[in-house]
Amino acid sequence: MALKVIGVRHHSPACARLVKETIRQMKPRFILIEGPSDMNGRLDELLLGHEPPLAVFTFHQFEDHSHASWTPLCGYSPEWVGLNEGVACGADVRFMDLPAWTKSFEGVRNRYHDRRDEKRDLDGLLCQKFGVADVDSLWDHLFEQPMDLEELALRLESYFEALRGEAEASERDQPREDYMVRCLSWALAEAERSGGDVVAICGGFHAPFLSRNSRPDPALPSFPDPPRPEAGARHGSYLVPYSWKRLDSFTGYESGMPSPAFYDAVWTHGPEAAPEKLFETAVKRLRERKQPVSAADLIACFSLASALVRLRGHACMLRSDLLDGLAAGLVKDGLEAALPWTYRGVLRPRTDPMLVEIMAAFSGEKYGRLAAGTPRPPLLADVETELERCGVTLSSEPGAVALDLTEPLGREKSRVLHRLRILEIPGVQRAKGSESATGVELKETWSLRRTFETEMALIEAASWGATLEQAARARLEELLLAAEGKSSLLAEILGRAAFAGIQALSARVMDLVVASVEKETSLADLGSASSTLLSLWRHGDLYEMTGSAMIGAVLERSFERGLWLLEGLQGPAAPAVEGEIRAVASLRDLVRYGQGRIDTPAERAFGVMLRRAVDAEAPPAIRGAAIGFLWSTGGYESTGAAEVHALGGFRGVARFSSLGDFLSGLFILARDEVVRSNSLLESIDGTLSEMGPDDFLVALPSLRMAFAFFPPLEREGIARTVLEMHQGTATDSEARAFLRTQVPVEVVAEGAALELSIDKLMKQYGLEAVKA
Amino acid sequence: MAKAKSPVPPSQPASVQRPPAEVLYAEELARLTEADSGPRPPGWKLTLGGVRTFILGDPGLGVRKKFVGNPALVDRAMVTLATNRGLMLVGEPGTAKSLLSELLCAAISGCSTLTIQGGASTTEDQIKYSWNYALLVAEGPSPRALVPAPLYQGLRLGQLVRFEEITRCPLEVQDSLLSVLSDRVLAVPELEGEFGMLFARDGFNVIATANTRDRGVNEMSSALKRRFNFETIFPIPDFRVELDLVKEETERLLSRSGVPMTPDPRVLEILVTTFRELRSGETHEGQAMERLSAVMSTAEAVSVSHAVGVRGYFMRGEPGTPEDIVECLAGTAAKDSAEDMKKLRRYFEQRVSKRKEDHWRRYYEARHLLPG
Repeated sequence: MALKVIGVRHHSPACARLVKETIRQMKPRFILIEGPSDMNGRLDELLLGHEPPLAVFTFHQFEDHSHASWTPLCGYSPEWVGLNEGVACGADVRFMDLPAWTKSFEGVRNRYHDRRDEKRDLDGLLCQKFGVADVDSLWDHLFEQPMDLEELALRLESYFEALRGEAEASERDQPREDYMVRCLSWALAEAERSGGDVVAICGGFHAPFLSRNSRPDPALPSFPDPPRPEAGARHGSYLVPYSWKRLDSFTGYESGMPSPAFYDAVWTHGPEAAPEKLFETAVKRLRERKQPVSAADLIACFSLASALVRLRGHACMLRSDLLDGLAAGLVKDGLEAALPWTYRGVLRPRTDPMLVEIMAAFSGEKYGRLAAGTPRPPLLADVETELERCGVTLSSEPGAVALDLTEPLGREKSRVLHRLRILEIPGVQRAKGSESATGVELKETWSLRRTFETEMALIEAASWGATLEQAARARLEELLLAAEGKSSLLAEILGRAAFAGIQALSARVMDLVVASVEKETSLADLGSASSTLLSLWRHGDLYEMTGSAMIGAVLERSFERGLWLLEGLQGPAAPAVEGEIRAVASLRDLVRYGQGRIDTPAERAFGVMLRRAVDAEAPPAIRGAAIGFLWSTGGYESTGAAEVHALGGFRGVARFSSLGDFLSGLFILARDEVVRSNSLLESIDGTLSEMGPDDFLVALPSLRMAFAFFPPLEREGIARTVLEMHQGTATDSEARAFLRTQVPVEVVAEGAALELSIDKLMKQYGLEAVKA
Repeated sequence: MAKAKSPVPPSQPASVQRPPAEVLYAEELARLTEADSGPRPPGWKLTLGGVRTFILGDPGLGVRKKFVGNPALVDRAMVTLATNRGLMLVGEPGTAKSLLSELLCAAISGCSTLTIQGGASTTEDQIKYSWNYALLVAEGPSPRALVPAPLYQGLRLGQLVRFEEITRCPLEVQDSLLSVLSDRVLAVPELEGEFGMLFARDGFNVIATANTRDRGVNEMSSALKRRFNFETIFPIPDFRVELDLVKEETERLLSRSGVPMTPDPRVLEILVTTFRELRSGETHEGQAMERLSAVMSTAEAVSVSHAVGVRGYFMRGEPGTPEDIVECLAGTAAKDSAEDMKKLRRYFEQRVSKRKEDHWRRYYEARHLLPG
């Protein structure tokens, strides 16, 4: 009886090779693999002849807490190879890790991610020692070169030994390791009793611990049961098709081995032949995408890559050699973002298009396929139940449903259909309805039809979740992350969440989404998005969104970002942009309505507004808006002081053409205050009266825009005040008449021009006195 | 024919302000040459591995690390130089492009002084060759009358030629490199017979540097671009590495200025953080902000940190403080740009203000020291 613990890096073809050969040589009695042990009763489902990549998807829902996690398997994953080889040689194969619903996996979406030890940074030291640039190159340098298996096993063992050192497992990992040790101890006892060996396949960090601590324990009566979830929790694991692209798009700490297409070629064709295959694929892709790649470039790339292989002393061309060769030979400009293989995670913005295509080629486009007869994921059944529950029929005959959202059943149906729409299920289409969740249209029409694709799409969508709600939520989370902080998109997607009745997202995703607001660069977009969201947050009763924490969090960050962007606007001659002024108004609304409920403190805004109000470099409209902000929120000590500031600001506008811009800002933010302030109106009137006709014409367009922000009634009020200033009293009808010209504008303009030329003529003959 | 004299000064006079790399590190190079036994590309003084060790350092061999950057980039650069394409180093100012080019030349050719400094007034004469007019008039065109410029020398001696700031030259002057780079031959039409064509000896190649802030490489002719492999050098990505480098360099400069004090680590942390954030347009908490148009390179950070140390010691007899940084920032970060000054203020008001640690608070409170 012997125990062989093979420490692996997930998705490493070298490790898969070691697993395969070890199993073939040892023909062990037991093979225990780091994987979700709740699948143990159903391992045969994994062996139906699927086409990888696929994943075991685990969901868990308890009270208001829900979690989804994937265990992705490719053709070259050591775990997948171990499973298949093990079954082929007649071994008893089992998963030996905790299910994904335990605390250890809280928030973990990719079970097979790489682990990083920030504290000790062994990889950093090794990179320095071997003179390689990054961790992935280090791994390839040490392990993915062709070498005999004994050497590979020895290297892996000493590497993982050093990685683990004397380190204790983290709080998350400890229960996992304890469970794995118990599983192994049971298997060892069994093997001792009936003969045979035990092979364990696990992440390299755990391997030294498992080797040291597993010994036969005859006291264990049976294979240790995985812990059960809380009573009443919904949970389950099932198989879903997966794709290379998704495997390669886990970000940050969730990421694992990159470039699936490359390592698949290493596994299928061997490390010597793989680079050439990928080189071909990449070049083909580049040319299809019309990127210029000449034959001379290709020769240069390949010879550079070959020279790098020799320089670095590699036994064959590795991924980094090939990529470095391609970069050196093809890139013909200064780069704006670092080479994608020198960091982990998704591509950075402004990455050279050539490099984007190369990385996509290395990622590959393979989609996995489940074998016929694979149990159908629970999502399909859940969709049927949901449709039935609310009485929507999805049949092969095309049908239409009209819904009234003011009725509870109508809302219920609408939610289900919106969730299907989020999952992009063919056959479910909304023909009519409001664009946004704050719209006034409360009726919807849907056209429905079940097609062959409907079922296919549902099976694919099952990788998002086990229930319709969960799947739609996961899909929305993905969309929100992909929006990259574009606030108009964020608002739209959160609006869709409202339609679909999804009031909360997982905390980790929410953090990322909230942080992404920082990427917005347009104040106008940010403003319009946050006013949409604010109204949903204040009046979203219909969709149960009022006071939603999810929207509140986005609003808080939008407030911060808005203030930052506002402070950056420059240009004393810049014309008014209504969106930007409205954004200042939405900042004010955030202060006003968020008070005490979300973190949008008035003092933060006051600081920025006070600076902007007196900033000579700020666009006039923004200065006006800042003064209006302060005036309307009590940022000045008294109305008198506010008027002084507003007047000062107005008089400080250097160009006539900008006068109206300043007023637009002021009027939008402090409409009520302005209408009530006779002294301000008087002063504006005074300034305008003193203007010469030419200056007035220059000022006119922006002034017109400014006064257009008042509703007709208020405009009349202003007209009346102005008339009163000039003639003592004025009636309503006089005020109305004052606003409307009796003759067409062109005639007035002609008249004015005529008058002007008469004036000139009279002046020429010295007759001004006569006119007076 | 012009004499085949070595362009390297034979010894290092004590008064030289800045000796070239091959003189400064002569001892290291000698040791590496001795220990270096592998195959060398034709015309190279060291093997590729030897060059790599010289540049990236090896504590075991007592070789100092001279370039803090991506080792894969150094690999690619060396391999490019061993082929028939030139090497173009592109990057922001202060990212050690010229340093890398100098080190490569010193290690590969043993000489880093065959340098053409590009500028608006650079002419072909300064690149290829010109004439000793007295001899030219007296004897007519002859090899004796020819005055070789760096490119001519490089071809003849089989050495690397450095072309600094190539994009600052007029386009037609840049293009004079075309035939030399592709055919590896320089025609001297004035001379007859064997002297009319100068064929490149093994070991010749060109390292050009270009600054992304000046006229970028976009305007270069595509014919010339094709003859170069491009390498972009980025600012140091890792905070710790940059902090260590700034610390080390500052200490060196301070001791040279007669300041017997090491900088306060918290002050250095503020300084390096500020530089990194204003350069990348992102705070370390991940908030986006506007980049400054001024160059916020590591080299600038070192010079500010040096100035901070000098201020602190000579004015008050203590190490530099956060207030000193604010004073010095105005001169470097904002230079004379009112726009940058605004961005800097906004950075203080909206970003620095939120950091609660004591030294950051002091830094924030000193913001009134910014001029204007």
